[in-house]
Amino acid sequence: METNFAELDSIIHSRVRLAIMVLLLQTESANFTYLKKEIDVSDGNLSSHLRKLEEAKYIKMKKSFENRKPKTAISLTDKGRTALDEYTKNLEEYLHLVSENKQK
Amino acid sequence: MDQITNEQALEVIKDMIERRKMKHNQTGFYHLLWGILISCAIVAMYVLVGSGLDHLIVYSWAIFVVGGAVASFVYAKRTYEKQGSSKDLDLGLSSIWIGTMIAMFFVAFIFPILNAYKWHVIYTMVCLLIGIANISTGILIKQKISLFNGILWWIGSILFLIIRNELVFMGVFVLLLVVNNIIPGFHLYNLARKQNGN
Repeated sequence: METNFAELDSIIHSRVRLAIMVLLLQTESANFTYLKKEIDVSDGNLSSHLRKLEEAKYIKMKKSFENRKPKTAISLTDKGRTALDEYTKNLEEYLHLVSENKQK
Repeated sequence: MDQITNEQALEVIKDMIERRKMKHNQTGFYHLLWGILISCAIVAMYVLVGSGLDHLIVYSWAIFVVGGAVASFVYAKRTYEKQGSSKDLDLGLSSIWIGTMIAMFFVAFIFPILNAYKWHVIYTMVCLLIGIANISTGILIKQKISLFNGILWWIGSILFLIIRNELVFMGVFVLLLVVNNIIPGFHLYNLARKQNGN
């Protein structure tokens, strides 16, 4: 069975970025610490993946201060939501194909 | 390396969804809060009836209901700050319980003042409202125990219309509180602590 990666969005198709997108899909907004804890990655690693998603306009980051501490609220954009929706549809189709081929 | 196969992508999606699900067992707080508050309200009611101060019952209910609303609001806000995320389900659960409290304020304070019914009907109405909150919570967080508790509260609401003996009345209510709120509350709270690694 040939794996067709071209159909899947290469920006989302990475462990950390996919995890970020799925977590954000389920939340209104999340902060950096929460994502770091849930995905179990280093600060630098998470920052670089967030930057990549932000450049693609899949997420937006709103910086603010609370009790003089910097806070970053991260959320999915409409474009990001659509891209993740498309990604999961393609993934589902792929897995369905694999399952059909196995039965044959 | 961050490269993944399509099968691994599916695992990542499943894993992240499961992680979010775990957070919702923190609703044990609401069970406990309401179990304790209503227990206090009943003790206060019993003392007031015994002292011939029946007219103050509605005020004691109002204090506990407003106290519960404030505590729930503060808890919801602190949970958001601690978790670092918020979601529609969190908002839904908070809304159900805060909405229940507002309805209870009417049922246990406003309506009795307006002489809509006698004070003992408060029990039946309160049982119905807590039943709705428990069943809605159970459906949202997929916890059978909460669904079961909601049904028991509704059965309780019928019992309170039938029972006439005051002591039996109080006993049944306390039993319902322990079985429906205190025990499941501790269970859900401990489950959340384990799942969150605390």
